[in-house]
Amino acid sequence: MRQVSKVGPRVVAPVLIAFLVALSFFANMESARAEQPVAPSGAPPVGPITILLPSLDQPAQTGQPAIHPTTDFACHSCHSDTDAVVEFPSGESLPVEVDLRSFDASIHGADSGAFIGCSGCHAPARYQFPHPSPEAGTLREYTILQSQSCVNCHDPHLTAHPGPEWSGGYDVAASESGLPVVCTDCHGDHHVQTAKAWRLPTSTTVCVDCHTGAGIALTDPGSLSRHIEAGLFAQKQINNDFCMGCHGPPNKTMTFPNGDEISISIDGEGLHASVHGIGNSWQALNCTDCHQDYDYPHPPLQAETARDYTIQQSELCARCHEPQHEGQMSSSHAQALADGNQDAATCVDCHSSHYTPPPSEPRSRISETCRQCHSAIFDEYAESVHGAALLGDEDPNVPTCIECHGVHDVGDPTTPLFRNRSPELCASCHANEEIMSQYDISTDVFDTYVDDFHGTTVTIFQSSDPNVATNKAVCYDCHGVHDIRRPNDPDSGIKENLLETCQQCHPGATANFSNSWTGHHRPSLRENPLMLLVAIFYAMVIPGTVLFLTFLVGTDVYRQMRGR
Amino acid sequence: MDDSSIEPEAIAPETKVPEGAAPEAPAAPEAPVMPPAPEVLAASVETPPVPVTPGELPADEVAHEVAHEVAHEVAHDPGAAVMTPHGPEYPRFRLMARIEHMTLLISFTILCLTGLPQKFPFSPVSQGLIQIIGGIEVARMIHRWAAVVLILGTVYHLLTSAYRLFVKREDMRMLPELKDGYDLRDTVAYNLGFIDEPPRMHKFNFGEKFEYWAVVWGTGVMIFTGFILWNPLAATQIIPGDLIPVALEAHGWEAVLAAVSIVIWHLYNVLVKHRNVSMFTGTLSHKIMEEEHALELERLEAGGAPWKVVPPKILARRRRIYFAVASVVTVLALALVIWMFTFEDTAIIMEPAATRGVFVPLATPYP
Repeated sequence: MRQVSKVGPRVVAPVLIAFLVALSFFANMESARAEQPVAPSGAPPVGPITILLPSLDQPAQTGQPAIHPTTDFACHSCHSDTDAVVEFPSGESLPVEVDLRSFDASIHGADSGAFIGCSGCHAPARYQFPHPSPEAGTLREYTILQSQSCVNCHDPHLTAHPGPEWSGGYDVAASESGLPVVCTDCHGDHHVQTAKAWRLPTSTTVCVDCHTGAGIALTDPGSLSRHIEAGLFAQKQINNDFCMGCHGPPNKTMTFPNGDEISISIDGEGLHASVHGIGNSWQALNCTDCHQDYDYPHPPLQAETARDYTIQQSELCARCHEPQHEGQMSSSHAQALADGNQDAATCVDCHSSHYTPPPSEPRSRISETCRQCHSAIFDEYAESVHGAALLGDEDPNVPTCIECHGVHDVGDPTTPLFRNRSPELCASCHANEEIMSQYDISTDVFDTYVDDFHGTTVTIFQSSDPNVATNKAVCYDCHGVHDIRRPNDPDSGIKENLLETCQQCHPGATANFSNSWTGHHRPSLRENPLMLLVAIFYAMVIPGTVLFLTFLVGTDVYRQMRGR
Repeated sequence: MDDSSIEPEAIAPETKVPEGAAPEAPAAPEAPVMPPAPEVLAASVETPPVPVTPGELPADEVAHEVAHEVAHEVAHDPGAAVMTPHGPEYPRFRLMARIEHMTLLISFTILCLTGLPQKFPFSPVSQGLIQIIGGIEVARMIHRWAAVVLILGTVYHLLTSAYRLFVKREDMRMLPELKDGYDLRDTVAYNLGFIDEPPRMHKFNFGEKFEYWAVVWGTGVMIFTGFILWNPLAATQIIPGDLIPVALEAHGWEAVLAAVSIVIWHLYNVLVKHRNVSMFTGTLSHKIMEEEHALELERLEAGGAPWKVVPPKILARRRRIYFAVASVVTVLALALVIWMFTFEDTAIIMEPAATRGVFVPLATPYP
């Protein structure tokens, strides 16, 4: 189609003349009606109908500028031109102007609860700018074509109405009466009204006007409202576009009974970039993969508060992530939640809902995730030798939060069980030669600890009474819990501060006392030589005694065997 | 072991210091005497005339008192062979020795059962034992109570030894001597068939002396190191902290040494080689006496008194002094034990766990 422009003074850039396709119909249809498009079938012309129903749902226009997505304003920068028109091959023409105020007052408008932007109907793929040529030869063809976008969301309820077979497109020739009636003929386009408006008695004037004009009798106008009540959105072709029609525009919110307000706008780009998006190894998830059995209109909310809603929705993850969900259900988070602590973390608190990033990329994200709720502990950790290496160097070996606390089955770290097992937890890395050799750290630390009084006791506890608390020191009593530092760090509890550390449990300890700690060294001539001497002494005396006594006993047995 | 025969020359106790007393200690753990070594002390035969300090009493009076004393001793402990259906039984241990042995037997066994599992915590046997006892903390409390019993038994042994040494002025027959070396050599040679006659030994033979002194050494080490481990704070007021792990090392290995010695040597001799229950009955059969304590048997059969007899008047005077001193020592010893048990409690209390603010959400979420 050739675009013709009556260039107004405001249209300065030539590109803006390139209106290839009009958005739809215009708020002011008077000019279009004046053109009186002729149906291709040659049937009596059915003019578009201006619906003049009272708006029941919307408050009066306040004059406040509606909040539109920026794309809407891009559209409107051209489609506010009151002079420009689209010309069809048939010679008909259509003004390009869309009255945003009128649109906002409609059921699809910004003032309603079901706001959809321009691209909600005029799907972006087809409406790239510059717009492609419309495939319509006449204005009427164009109207019929555009009406099909309604079916994206709405059930074509008027199947009884002669004319369209909606599933396969609008085929006028196939219609019995040859009188095509399309959505916008009755509902209007940009100023479409609500279903409630259609229930008013005056609504039948829409039908009557048309039927009278075409000379066709009205059969059963009463059945109309029943069709409407059957479900405006019974159309089941629910896909992402269907959902995004409402959830795409930004700044859309919903309000809970307690007054909580949350955004229901979905950032499609963010969703695509998430682990569930186009990079997902299984398949890019659709809205309904998670939100199954979700109808429109949505069923009433069960949640009283936004937090309730989040907790409820977290259950959705379990459908695919069953093992993780099971682990989570045994965690202290789930326990706290069951105990009524609504702050306890659910799936989406850590992973987010629609914009789930790969949880361990980079590795520091793990600890940063925990930080969301445990920031005080994170701050301690960040100062530690482990935290600094993770956050500063992305060290692949240092523990993040989950190496010690678990991933989904995060346990309670204050239990005796955790305490009694903690030395082995530390040992899982610190007794590992492969890891420790990279840092020049001794792997004797665990064995020497177990040989020590504290370690011996804890070891026995772990095997015999794992659920009974012991007051004997474990690794973190001396080295710190989250703020673990190098032993030679002046801020650590070791070296200069060792006495102070001992005094945490042994209030009367003197400097002599802290010397009793062997510093994880095995006895040697350098470290505690006396201990080495004692060990050597008994290493000789015990076997010597045993040999000597066994020899004596042996000779006595020999004597008795000989019968003496 | 507290059986010392009457010792005429016993009047020179100072020379052999606490020795005489010592023999009592072994009664318990390591060196329970099984094969009594008859000490054919010259003394034995000279029973009647006690070596009273000259000028203390008229001779006839002395004789009278000695007779009385002998009668007294015999009434309480067999002074000479007692006939039983199984043959003659010879006096071997007085009551106090048997008490000491029983005390040591019980405390040593409990100490081993509660202590050795701590030395080898990874062994399933240890873990099972601790489980049965009721957990490591319970085991430790029992260990400490048993230690108190052991210490009290040691104090008791020192007191009875002092009685024998200063009141009865008995010989210290537990002291090692050269003959013990020859006896050991001859026993081995006899067992291996190199000689035809076993050595004839005194009331305490070389094996019993070995056990006794092993117990003296072992008990000393264990009490000393045990106190350090029990009261590390107090100990480090005096000794360097480095000694605490040393004490732990010594305590553990000494326990192993004691336990294996008892199992190999003592239990073999009193349960396997013979069923020697003289530490419970106080008497020993002729057969075992002959085999292990031939000289003591000979002395007794020659009419020697099993233990030295002191004239009653002299005895009464010495006893007054003894009990005066002993009661003071006893009170001090008990005070020491109580002090040890209650000296410090940091090893027993539970430190409260530090608390942290757990839920401190960030104001600005991580991107």
